[in-house]
Amino acid sequence: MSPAKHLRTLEQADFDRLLNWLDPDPERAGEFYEKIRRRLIAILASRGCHTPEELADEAFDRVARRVKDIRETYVGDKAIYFLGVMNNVHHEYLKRPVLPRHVESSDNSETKEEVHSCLDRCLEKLTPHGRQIIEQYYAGQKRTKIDLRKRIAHELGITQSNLRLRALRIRLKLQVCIDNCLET
Amino acid sequence: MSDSVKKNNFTDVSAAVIRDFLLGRLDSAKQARFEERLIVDDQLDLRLRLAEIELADEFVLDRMNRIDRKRFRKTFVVTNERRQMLIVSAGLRERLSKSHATQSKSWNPLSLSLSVLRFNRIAWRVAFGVLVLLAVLASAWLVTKEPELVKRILPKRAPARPAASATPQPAHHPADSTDPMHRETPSPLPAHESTSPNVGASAADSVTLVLSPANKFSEAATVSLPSSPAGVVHFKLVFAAEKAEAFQAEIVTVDGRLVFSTAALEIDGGSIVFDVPGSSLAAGDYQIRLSRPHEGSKQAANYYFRVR
Repeated sequence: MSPAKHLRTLEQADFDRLLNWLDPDPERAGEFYEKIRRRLIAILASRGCHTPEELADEAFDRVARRVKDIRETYVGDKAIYFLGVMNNVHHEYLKRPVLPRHVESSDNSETKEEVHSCLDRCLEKLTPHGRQIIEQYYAGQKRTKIDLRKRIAHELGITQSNLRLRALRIRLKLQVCIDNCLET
Repeated sequence: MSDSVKKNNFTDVSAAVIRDFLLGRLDSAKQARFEERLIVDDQLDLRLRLAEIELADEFVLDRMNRIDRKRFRKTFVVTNERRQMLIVSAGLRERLSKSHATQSKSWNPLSLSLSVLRFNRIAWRVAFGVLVLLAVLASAWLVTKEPELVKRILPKRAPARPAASATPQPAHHPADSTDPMHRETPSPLPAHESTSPNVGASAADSVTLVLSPANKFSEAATVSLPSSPAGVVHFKLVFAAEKAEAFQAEIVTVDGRLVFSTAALEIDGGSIVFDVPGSSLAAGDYQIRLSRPHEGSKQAANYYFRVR
């Protein structure tokens, strides 16, 4: 068992040191942290890991404990260092015995209720123009939707590709709004 | 990874590769290259987030083939964030499908009339033509057979001016002559009919402002805010770029206060478009800072405008 595994909880001092290493400005450090964490999770999920969030957090814990040894000498993009540590975590994960996978139920009605409530609130915050785009982009059957998109794109004087990007950006804003709503 | 990799053309990662990454279908070499790029490339990360949403929508809207659906369940739905994303996609489909159906069924006189009439059908065209003909004939009959009725309906006309005679004649003007009064009953203004009251923004809801890059406030264009409180200002920034890339736009006041910010903007036909709620702006001078977030927010262009 590696020394890192003996310590089950990350000390606050290590965490603060990690953030400071990422960036002296706490807000930017937090943004960098979230940005790298999200990317590590995406990579681990793509590799077929069933618990990408846990593995990503484990990678962060290891980096946090090593910061005091490397901060003076490390040169280069810090994100690359995280990728390297994540690779080690992943290799160890692959060596673990394969356990039956606990599939999260997607029918958690309480979570759904909360998400739907936040969705309604966030839809109201959209501008009329944004609401129009997303309503007409997502509504209707497949054939109708294709015709609708052509019409909307024509009315707005933009390509269908750009309409798709606009709708996706609005959708992303909705997702961020919902995430913030759920946290409150 | 060296800086040279970061400076590579970021558009060489196709949407298909991103999709394959999300579904866990890349071979080991491509996977490694993609991961090295993703961990340092903000623009690729943004494209990945948009692709995640699109994939979730495809799954919810049942637009995936069986094989992709299986891979999707295996490699995509493994994080809390993505599970939530699916719930949102399903919620959107449910709400917006209902909203679309409601709008389709809502009573809209003009659209209802049009849908009933369906001008593209010959039978209806013929029937409409017959109706118009009957109306014309009925009017002609009314005028010839019921002149008294017509006089009551039509407004009184001013008496015609006397035609000029060939030789001048002395005119007999009464002492108390007055100009004939042209009276007419003002007809009420027709009610404003909106072709689509439930869909689309009226002129009161939005204004469009096209801006070119400038260096100072003296070159600012002027715009009036939409009259509606929920109105929107459509900004169209003229910008020439050599390659496809994402931009960020920030609107600041003359004293540097940030009032609006948006990112992930792309060029379309030589311009960058985005919407700003009218409520975010007040009378005054503004600067729009266009920057490249993937190059450390390097400035791309500045624009100026004034709100009346």
